[in-house]
Amino acid sequence: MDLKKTTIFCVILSGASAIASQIVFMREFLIVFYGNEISIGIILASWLLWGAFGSAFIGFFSDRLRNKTRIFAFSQLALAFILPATLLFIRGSKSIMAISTGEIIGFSPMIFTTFLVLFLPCAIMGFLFSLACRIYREVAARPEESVARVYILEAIGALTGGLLVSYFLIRFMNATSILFLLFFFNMLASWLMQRHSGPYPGWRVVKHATIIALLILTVLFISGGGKVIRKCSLRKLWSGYDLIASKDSIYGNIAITGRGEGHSFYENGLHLYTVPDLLSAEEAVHFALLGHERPQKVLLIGGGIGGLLGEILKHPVKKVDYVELDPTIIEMAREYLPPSESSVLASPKVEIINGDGRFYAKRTANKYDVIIISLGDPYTAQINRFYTVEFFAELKRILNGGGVISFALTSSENYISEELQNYLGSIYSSLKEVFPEVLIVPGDTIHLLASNVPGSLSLDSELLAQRERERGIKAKYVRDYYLFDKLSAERVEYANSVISGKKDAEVNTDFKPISYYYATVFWSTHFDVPVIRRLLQSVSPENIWIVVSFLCFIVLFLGLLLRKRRPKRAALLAVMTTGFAEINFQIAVILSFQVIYGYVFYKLGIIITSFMVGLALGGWMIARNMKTIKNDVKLFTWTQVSICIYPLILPLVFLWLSRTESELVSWMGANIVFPFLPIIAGIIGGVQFPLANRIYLESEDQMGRVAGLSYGLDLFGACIGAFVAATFLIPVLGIFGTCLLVALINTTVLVLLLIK
Amino acid sequence: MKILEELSTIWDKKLSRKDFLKGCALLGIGVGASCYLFDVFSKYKAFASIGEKRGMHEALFYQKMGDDAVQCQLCFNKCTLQDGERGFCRVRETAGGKLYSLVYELICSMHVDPIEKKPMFHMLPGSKSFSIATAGCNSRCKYCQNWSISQRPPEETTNRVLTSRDLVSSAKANGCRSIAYTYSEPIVFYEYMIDASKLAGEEGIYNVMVTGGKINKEPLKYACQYVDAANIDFKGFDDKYLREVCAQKLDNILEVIQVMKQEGVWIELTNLIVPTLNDNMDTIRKMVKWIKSTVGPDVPLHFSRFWPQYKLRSLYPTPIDTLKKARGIALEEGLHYVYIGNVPEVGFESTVCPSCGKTVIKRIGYKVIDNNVSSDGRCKFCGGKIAGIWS
Repeated sequence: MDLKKTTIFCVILSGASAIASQIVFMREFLIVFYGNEISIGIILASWLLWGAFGSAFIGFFSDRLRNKTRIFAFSQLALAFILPATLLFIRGSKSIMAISTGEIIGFSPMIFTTFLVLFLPCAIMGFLFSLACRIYREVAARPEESVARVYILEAIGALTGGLLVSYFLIRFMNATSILFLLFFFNMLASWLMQRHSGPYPGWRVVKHATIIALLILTVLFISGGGKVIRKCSLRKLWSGYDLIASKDSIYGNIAITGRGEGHSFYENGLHLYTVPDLLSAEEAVHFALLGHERPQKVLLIGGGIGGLLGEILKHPVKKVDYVELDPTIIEMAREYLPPSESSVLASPKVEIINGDGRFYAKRTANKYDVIIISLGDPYTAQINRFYTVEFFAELKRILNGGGVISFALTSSENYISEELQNYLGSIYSSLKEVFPEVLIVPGDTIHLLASNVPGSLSLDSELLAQRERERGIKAKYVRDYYLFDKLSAERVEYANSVISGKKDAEVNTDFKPISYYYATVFWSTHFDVPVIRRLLQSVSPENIWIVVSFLCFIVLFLGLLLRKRRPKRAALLAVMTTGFAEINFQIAVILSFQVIYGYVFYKLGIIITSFMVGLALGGWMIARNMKTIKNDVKLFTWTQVSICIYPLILPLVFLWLSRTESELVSWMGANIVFPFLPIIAGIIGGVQFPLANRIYLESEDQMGRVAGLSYGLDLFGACIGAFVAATFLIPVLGIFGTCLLVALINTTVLVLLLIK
Repeated sequence: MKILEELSTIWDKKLSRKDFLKGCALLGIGVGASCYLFDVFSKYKAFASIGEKRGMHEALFYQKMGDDAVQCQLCFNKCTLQDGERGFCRVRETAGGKLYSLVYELICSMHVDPIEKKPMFHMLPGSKSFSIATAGCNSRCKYCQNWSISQRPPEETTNRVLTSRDLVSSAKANGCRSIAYTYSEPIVFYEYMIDASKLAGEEGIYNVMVTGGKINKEPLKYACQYVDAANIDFKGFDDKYLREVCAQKLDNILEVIQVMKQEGVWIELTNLIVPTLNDNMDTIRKMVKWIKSTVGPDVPLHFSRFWPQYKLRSLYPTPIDTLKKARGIALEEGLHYVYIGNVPEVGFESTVCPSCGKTVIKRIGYKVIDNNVSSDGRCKFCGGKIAGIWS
């Protein structure tokens, strides 16, 4: 292979390694941390930040380096070892942080660990980009296109890597094997590059040593070494628990731990449920079913394995439809739970529906007497979809007259703090928007019951006991001797006054999912970090607008002052704001798709992919015409105009598609409009990046440095976006507000480009 | 450096009038906006000043250390605090060379609970207990059920004033035979507890302290004069666990249990079994042996179940088997009254007479179904003595 082909291979591989390791590390990190939006934001942000650091700061030297290929080869060699080492480090980080088994991790250790762990791999990957641009220039036929080419190749690599891992490899391989695969290819790439990096003393030895080491390690890994590594590292990750099994599905990681008769299910490190846990199962089921006179058809969304199905079947019901997103949970339950617990899955009354609850509720023609949602607290935008006004309205549509819906949320029996009050209050008022009758069952876990008939629900222990007797149910917890205290007038009154008394808590809607933000603020009170808590609490629409407008003014002001090279600098700034904007668009599009159509994994994949396709397409378009473009600043300004308009159109499209009654429009929305939206965003980004490089570049010998800088800024913008989009902007401003904000930021940069 | 250079070239060129005005306008808006921002964020800084003096009351046990500093003598932490500093418990602060409690008569939680819920099984079964708490705690148990008050300062909780007098009258009005100082940690609202207990004692209402027992000997002995009964959270018998998970010490708990017993307070012990962290049966056996040999077999022991709470949210609830095993060990070692608290599915809440072996108090959950202990503390079947407070 000549140097050019080798470089192409290496760049594609870098893109693929980056995305593949990102997917894997993200999953592993979430098992270690608590899987809420803020943890995801921190992981993504530190990933992008170090990437930016590597490409901009280390890349700064790439023009001056003499043995570029040699350094590239050794960096890749280092990366080959660092990637698997990172996985092991993440898995071992819990024991390093010295936290107790089952303890959730606070902000400081979380931020510290993520930034520490991701520094090496991400900085190297960022550096490889700048260096690759430089190497490619020396071998390319048309040097001026080289940045664009490398950008496209990286996008292609990311595309293939992302698709391959999330759709294919995750199903058949575990994380250690995927990382080994990355090790293998990076070693191979390094060896290929080393062939072009000689001669220097010991060149041949190193080159041969690389390939021999690769062969030996591969043999070792395949012949059992891999299993040992996997076993040991999983034991570290789950230290303190008795891990029975851990499986990765396309949706996430499911683990079962157990001691004695009990089995506990964990999804991405979050405790889902323990079997048997009679108290939780009884409370989740009986309040709802006893609240109905004659429940016949029941819909259960999630939680079937947690003993809920068994409790439902104690009532004289005719049919239970159980919707579960991840079939892996059911497979694992069948495999690992004792027959006494898993046999309910085979009951003729139970129908298991694999799929998204929201998707199902939108489409089903069935009607139900009782609907139980057992998905846990909405800590993420993903789960938050099940607690919005729109979803409650969808449930109301499939509820028979006198029907009951019920779900459980974390609360506190003796004292409900202000943060908890906001969180519970917002979900309570959302439910109250749709259902005339809403009841609160107090406790450390509260249950909200709602019905479409006013006055039909009751917490009268006598009535509940009577219905239990009629149905021959011998509950252990939900009965008189337990309820006399739990449902004492004083306790009920307290919970009611605090939760329903919260008048200023905002309702939770699809396009302004505020509840998961309240949940995050509540979560932050678990840790004694008042600074972060106060910062979180100070986030309000007004404050966001003020801070951002203020920043925009400063940028404008500086822009007016610094006239020298203004368009050049503005173009670089635009790369950063575009990086910021596009991650916001991606999150907005993915979230909107999920609320309008439900969570369909492969369709989401298409949306993510189409962004990458757009990116590559835009880069390719510009690369082809690089020579013929005369006024690059003018063209660039037009791309900036389009990225100002794009976020203004986005909300209109979402609104139109969410309100449409037409089947055809709806179909087109899901299958044409949504996959198409990110392509446009991608194209804008793909065009802007190489163009900005050309505008900023003054002399050819700075190419590596400039490419590194612009790539770094792109990543840095994305880093800020990744951190603020899902954590603050979307829940607090809403999707539409976020789009407006992005438009404002981009317009500021546009003004800078325009002023003469 | 580059920016400086550019600024100087701009300076040299002289700004045009228009540019100058433009710049000034922008600067003005910028300054305005930053003032507003500062205002927004500084609101959250006004924090240490509690503002109102309500809740402030001079502490009972502390020592002066020099001019402004004091050392709190309440628990083994012995926080040395300079002027304006807050103790580990988050509710004690120094001002002008004196130590103040910030939560005197300032409650944030108040409920009427069955006494069985404290848990107190050998004290007026079936009676109601008026239960109150303030913010703050001097332990740091990672599984705390009431962490939203115990692990937060009073500025961050919603409080209300409840004077000792009003507390006693509310307890009476609600038909409660006792007042329970519970939920968070009565040790940190010590002065309030003492004053309320004095009043309650005069009115014939019992005082129950539900505590983690992190307190020094001197203040404890003083409190024992006024407190009638206590449930002490005997969190574990492993010093490492106590230090790492609860910020407590084994020696201290052992001392507190002994002192309270000696001072004639009716005590019951609770041991919360946290799976994987303190579910070692050998340790439980050691603990039970210590209880029997030091305070006797008549001290009731409640094993209670852990639920995923506070920082240990990712841990699973204690398996019932574990609780049963622990109870088996305690009975084997000869304790008379061993309960598994509030797990009606196993049904070990009832009191069995150690003399005749009959169930004298039948309970399910917190509910007393049948009580066969006479008011002088004797089994109605055999006349054997049942330890506790029965009238």
